[in-house]
Amino acid sequence: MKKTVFLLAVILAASCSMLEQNPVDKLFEENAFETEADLQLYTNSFYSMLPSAYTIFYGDHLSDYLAPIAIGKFLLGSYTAQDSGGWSWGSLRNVNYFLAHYDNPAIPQEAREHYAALARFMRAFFYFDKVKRFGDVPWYDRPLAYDDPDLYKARDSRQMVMNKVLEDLDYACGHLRTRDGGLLSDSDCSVVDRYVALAFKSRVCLFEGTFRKYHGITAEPSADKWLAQADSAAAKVIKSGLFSLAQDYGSLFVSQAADKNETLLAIVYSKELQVYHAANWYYTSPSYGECLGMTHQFVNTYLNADGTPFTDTAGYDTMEFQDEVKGRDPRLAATIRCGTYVRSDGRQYSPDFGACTTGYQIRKWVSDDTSMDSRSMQTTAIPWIRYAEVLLNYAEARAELGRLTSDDWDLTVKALRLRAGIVSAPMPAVADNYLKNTYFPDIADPVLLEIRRERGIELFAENFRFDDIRRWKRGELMTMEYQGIYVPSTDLPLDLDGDGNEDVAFVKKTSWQVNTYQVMLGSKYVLSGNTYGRLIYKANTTESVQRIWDDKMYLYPVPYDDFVVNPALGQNPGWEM
Amino acid sequence: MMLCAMAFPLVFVSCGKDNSGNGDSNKKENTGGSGGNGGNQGGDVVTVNVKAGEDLQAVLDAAAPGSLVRVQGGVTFKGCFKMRDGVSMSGGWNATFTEADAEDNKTVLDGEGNGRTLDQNIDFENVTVVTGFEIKNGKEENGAGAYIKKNGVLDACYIHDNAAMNNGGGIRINAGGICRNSEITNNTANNNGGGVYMYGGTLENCEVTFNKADNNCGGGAQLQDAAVITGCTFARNSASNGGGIRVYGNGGVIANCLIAANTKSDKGTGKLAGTGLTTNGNCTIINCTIVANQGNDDVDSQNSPGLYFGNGGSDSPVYNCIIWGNKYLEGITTGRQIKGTRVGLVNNAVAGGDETDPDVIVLSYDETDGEETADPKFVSAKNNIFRLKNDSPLIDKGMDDIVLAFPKDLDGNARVSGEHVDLGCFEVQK
Repeated sequence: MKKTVFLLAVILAASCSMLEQNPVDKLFEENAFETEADLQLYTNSFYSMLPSAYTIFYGDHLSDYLAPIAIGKFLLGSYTAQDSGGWSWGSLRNVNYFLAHYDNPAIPQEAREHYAALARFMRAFFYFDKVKRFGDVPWYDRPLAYDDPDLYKARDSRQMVMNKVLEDLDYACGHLRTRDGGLLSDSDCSVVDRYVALAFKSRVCLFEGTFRKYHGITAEPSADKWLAQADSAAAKVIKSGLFSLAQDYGSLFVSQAADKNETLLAIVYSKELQVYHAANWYYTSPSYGECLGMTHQFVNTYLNADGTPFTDTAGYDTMEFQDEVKGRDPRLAATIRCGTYVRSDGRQYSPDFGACTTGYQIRKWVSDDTSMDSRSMQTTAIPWIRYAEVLLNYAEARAELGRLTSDDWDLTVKALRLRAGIVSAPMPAVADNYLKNTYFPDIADPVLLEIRRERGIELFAENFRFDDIRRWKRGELMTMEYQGIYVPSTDLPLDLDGDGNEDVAFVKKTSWQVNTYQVMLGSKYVLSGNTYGRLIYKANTTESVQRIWDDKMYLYPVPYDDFVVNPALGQNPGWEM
Repeated sequence: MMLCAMAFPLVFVSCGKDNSGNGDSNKKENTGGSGGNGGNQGGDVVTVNVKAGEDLQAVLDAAAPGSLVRVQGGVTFKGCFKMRDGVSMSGGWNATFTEADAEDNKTVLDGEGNGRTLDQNIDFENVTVVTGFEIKNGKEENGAGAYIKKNGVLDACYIHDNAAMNNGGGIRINAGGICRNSEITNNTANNNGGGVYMYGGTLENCEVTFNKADNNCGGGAQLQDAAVITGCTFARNSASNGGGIRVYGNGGVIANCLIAANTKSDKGTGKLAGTGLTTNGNCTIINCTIVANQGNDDVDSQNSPGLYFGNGGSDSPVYNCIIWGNKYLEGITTGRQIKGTRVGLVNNAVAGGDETDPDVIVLSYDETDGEETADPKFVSAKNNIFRLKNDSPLIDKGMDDIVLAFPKDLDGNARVSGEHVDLGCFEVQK
């Protein structure tokens, strides 16, 4: 009997021990943070927080310089809190959970600090995005339980949250490993390192500094302090000497591998891993994308190749397409389809009004591989942080602070223009009237105007523009007329790319005699002179429903459902229902 | 004046004056459409003005035969509208009804896909003219945009984007009905007659383009029962058989028409078919230009990209026509512009025709030379301008007696200018 009882006890004890074991193929709090490899494995998940290719290459669909096929509720004035989104916090919890558990003394301190810095970089990215969208947001720096009362707290102020963002970025800039330090492997520009953090910090601080300056926010730190932070962060990247401008601007956006000289961080895609995007499809399809077309007003901002303003050319405003695109900043031809656009099949591609609203059809992200035009299997690398942006952040921050020297100009704007192929790029002494009158009437500084011109052109369609418009407080630009190419006459077939074949005709009634593609004038398209003149794209606006801008739109509303769950969040001004 | 105002409390402006321009000086003029005149066809003979937002159908119902309903232009009236016997409608009027522009300021009737946009449900006793309207978005079994019968006349209308489940996407015309001076565009029929389906009636001086009957016959039009088509353009329509026109049964007459750049659809069987014109019923074809239609068949198929004489249509006489530049899948093939059994080809010009046939003027086709210098010397075939140059060999080569009943060419000019009538639908004016 004793023997039986003993055996039973042994079996039960063994069973209890087995039942308490965790599955070996799962991570748990006790085994997730035991080695540096564990930290790396965990933090790999943070990269999914970064923007996708789609966010980057069509982020500017909401901007002043791209006309989409249809305008959304936001700009038509019918947007409400019930339409709003973006109040999601799952990825923040993932970061905060890591930061609450990673600090295992068994792991070398340098490694722990590196991965903590990566987590804090991601948290800064997360909150920067939230602040841009909502202004005040609740700050959380710890994982919350489902019954934590802080789930229902009020929002923290923009000032408080951005101070925290800056703290996180400073930690990241001080503790992330560097690509030149030997501890970080980054063969395809897809890993966040210290220079990525510095570059991103320059972006964040420039945004916040100029936002505060132009929106009149006087809270400390002041606008100038933020701008000084942007200046110094960008300067550190520049002075590292690790980065330089690629030789060819256009190739940066259509190559399989990111250019290692210029790209600090890219979103990469892989046929082996079956991770794809569809940039070609988006910009070439009449039905898949938004048929984005660059506006004529923005085309005008591209300088002549000799460095003089195109808008100083006599008759520039009535030039036909194939004439106006000649002799310009070569980035124009690298950004939109011009007469010289030949792809891998040997065909010259003219602007396609079926896939572009204005005639200025985007090719910047479109690779030469025509087989990608109708499927989602593209693997070209999508740069997210480029050295060019760092130069522009540096120049703008210093110009805003009144610190920009001629050496700074040469280092930044001039370098970018020379790289593009512009022959001459002297620092301007006189404000460009077109730029000032059309885009920035309150800016008198000729250098600052040129920096803004350069930023728009260099970073075109890379998801910067709406942020720039918001921080410059130029929301009215979002209602700028969508102007397209100049049309000398209705019913006249036009050869846009000069290949001898007619590409499009603008007609009031579809004419069977016109052999080429016909754009119907009427509700969506009109000509400024009725039967001739500037093409104006109305999209889905009507006499009574026009694009509008209201200052409340500098922030989005807190989504209605989230506001109902937690009324303490309050609502942004003007969005109350 | 007061008495009149009491009689027409909502709509009255003046009595005894005719502003309609239709010659009846004893009509009353009214403004404001809705209400007022009692039951259907029971009211007085009046000229009524209807503005945006008013009830057009109520006004039509209330007006007596002989009335004219003037409707504000540039505005849309949604719904399906019933014509009333003798109540003519005139669209395109400005807001003060002092001037009408039926060409550029049409009044829109929008069926919204809920039925036939404009309906003449019975033969009328009185001529009833509907002029200056845009008729769209009809959806019906037959005659989706409009259905016109005896004494119904559609004039200067723009009939587009209507869809028939069966026949007549844009319009169906029965005996005694007329459609004239109108554009019929971008309509579809699941069966026959993408643009127009005719059981008798007349189609005159119309442009019929971009219509589809892709599953069956007559992309531009199908006609039968002594229908008459004169002075019309059929272009860029498509069908499985008869991309431009298909004749069926006792077809009628087709005169002074341009049948060009129509296509053969990939749907349907499309056998024994012509892309420009197919006759499956006897029809007299006079001074037509059948050019640049695009088939999708191999050259060795039984089909023709130009004119095909099918079962029941082989006796159709064809006079003074030009048949040229119609293409197979491979491109132009001279000598294949006409197929099918035919007995009545008289005095026509055909690309690569039978040189032994004294009734055929054989035309060359030289793509390398460019159409402008080769016979038949069109002004610009490349740009779809099929008028003849002054030195065309087809000038004055027609038979005059056959065109006596059709005195205008496609441009509305005199049909005979010079010694004799020219071949084709356009007359070079001398």
